[in-house]
Amino acid sequence: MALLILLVVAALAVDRFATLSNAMAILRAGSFTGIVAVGMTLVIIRGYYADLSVPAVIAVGALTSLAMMPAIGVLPAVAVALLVSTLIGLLNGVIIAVASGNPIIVTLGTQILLSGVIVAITQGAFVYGTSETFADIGSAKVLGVPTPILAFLVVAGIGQAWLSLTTSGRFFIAAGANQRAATAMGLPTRRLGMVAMAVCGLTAGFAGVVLAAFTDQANVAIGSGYEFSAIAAVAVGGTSLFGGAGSIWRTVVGVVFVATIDNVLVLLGLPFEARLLATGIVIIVAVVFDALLRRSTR
Amino acid sequence: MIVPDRRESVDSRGSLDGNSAGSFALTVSGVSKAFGATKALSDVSLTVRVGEIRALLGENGAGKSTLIKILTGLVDSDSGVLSTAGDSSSGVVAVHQELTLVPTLSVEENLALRKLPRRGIFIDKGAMRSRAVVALQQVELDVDPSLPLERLGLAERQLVEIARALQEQPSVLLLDEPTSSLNSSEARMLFRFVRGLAASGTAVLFVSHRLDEVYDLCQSATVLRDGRVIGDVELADTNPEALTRMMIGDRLLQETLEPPVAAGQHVRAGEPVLRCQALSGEGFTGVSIDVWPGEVVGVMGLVGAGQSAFARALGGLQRTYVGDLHIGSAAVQSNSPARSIAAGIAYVPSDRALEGLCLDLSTGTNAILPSLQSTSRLGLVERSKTRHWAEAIIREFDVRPPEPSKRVGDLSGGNQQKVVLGKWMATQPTVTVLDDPTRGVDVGAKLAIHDAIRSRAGQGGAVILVSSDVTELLSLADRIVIFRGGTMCGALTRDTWSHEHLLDALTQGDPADD
Repeated sequence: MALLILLVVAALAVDRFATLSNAMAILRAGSFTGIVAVGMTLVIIRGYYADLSVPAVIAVGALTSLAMMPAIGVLPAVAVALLVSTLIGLLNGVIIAVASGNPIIVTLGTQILLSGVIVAITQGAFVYGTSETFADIGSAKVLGVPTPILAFLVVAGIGQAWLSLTTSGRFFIAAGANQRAATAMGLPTRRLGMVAMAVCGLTAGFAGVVLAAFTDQANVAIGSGYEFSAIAAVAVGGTSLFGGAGSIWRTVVGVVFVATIDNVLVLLGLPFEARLLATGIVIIVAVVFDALLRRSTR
Repeated sequence: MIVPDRRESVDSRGSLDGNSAGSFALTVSGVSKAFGATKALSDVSLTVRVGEIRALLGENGAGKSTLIKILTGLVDSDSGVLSTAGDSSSGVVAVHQELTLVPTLSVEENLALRKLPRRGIFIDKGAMRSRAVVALQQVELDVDPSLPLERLGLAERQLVEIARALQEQPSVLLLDEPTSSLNSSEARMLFRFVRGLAASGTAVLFVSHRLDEVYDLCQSATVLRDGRVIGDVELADTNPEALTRMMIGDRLLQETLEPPVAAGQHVRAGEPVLRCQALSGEGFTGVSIDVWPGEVVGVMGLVGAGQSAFARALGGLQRTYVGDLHIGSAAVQSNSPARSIAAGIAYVPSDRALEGLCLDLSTGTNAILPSLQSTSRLGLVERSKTRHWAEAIIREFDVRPPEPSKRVGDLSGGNQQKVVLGKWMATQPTVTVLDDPTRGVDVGAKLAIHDAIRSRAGQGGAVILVSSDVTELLSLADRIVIFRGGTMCGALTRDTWSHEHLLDALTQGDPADD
């Protein structure tokens, strides 16, 4: 709803907004956050609040794929990058489940630890792309649609289908809504948590790979800020941050919403600091608006 | 022990002999309250005289808690008037069954928490201390006011809570099931204190469902059922049997005394379906029991006697240490709910909000969750089948409103419990373990739940019913086992019981005392 209003107002008020190329620009800008936000949505619906290790996992995905490529080729390098990212996510999930750790603190720990490992290995230096195929895929368009957008839509589609069509998807929601009731019902709540964290690792790693293909370079800082933009997109979309309710579609709306605002501010020629200010305000307003709306309908 | 000027003001009214119509401390007339379509209270009137101790009686769901909320101002009534005597007093002040104190703060801080005395921006510790000393003297509690509350026993905490209530100089002190966490000597101490309080002019409204306590402490009683006042009696003029009849109503009493043919006529055929040999676990030891198909085994005991721990262990929610548990011919190593469920045991927990339901999800989703595997193929949910299944559960258990999309947390307690029961019954468990399934539900839902239990047994399912409600056990169970001190200590079968025994058990609350 709020997204529709925003799009209409922007189309009427801002020159050069309502064009196909600008729409692609918005989606492309949001696609990296969007891929991460799909995994983040699962984590949050499961009731695990957030995965703060996303920036480091993005860097792992990007750096691993770029660095391995000369030795083993494009596809194997990407596969290794995704595998490593998934394992990091799984490790988060196992620690949270076994030690009953707070997901925010556990993933904050992994984030810091991984950053240290990455800097130790790369010395903070950039790793550059070596494969033209990889870079071509990253900057290619299919039927006029840039590949990062396609990647985002595919990931979102799979995520939504999983959540709404499968038994395990419904169990995610039940476990997030009331973990004790779900446990008493015999649902594998811990395993669901591990799966959610592993998938979030996978999507973060995939976002890293897509970023690496798109920019053809990466360093330790490539993923910074994505954890918060993903959480913001999930929240703006209206998925409950307390778990047990929400959908991937909502997150997609949230991603587009946040990306649109930034796009409008750029088109209006506002400086960076003003964009930050405005984006922050709009996110808060959107969430408050949503809470009021829900209170009135209940 | 009470502030002197209060005593004088009461003495001057000269109304302490109880029988004379003294001045009223509390007058409630014609109070009604509805929550949505549910009428919680209709036209409720009651009075409490100065110095009187009056019992407020009623089964779960009779409207007691709504009335208490109206009396203490937490909820507004739809119609009706309530007035309290005295100008400087603060009306009705309640002491609740769940203690509302902060365990980590000191006794004096707890006593002063609502109005902390201050000097400038700091707490005035001297004033706080002297107030606490006065308040503690009032309840004859000799403890160091600077101790953290958690270092006190439960009875002492209850007294601190009463001291805090008395600081507000109420015209009526409302005690809401104050003995639920006390042992008998602590309860006696509390009663002695309450009698003294009444003798010095405070009106007391005593909420309880334990008739022995009511007869011990009170002069009169108001009985609620289904939101109406069913009786307003002087205890001297009545007997426990008549009071019980008022509380539970003829239909339930009838059901209890002459249970439907399905219950109590159980014939053991073939092998037991559940065999439990010397099973010990967290909170219970050495339980041996066999349960046959189609049998309802009632389990009772005081709080913490091990019956709930045993039930939880069967459901896989609590650990077992040694002993054997067999369902049919298969041994069950039940230390996870998933394993218990796979073995055919469904456990209906006592706290539906905590362990029974996902309150924010819809009625339909909640009803379908344990059966979701059966309504899906290759992990994909078949939507129409799932919807039909949910609708069938809602219809069969008469869940109101019958809307699958309604948020289950918005349903009444009774209807929530029907959903919990329905979702498990739909899986057709071999053994159904229920822990206090009718706690806090209205009479209609209670009868519906009883019907569901009978029908499960009628279909050949074994049922283990843990309940704190003796009436319920007597009406449903084929036999009743008693837990005490963490273990099973006896069993009673229906044919060893005469009607007199049943009524004794009803009114005394513990048939094992015979």
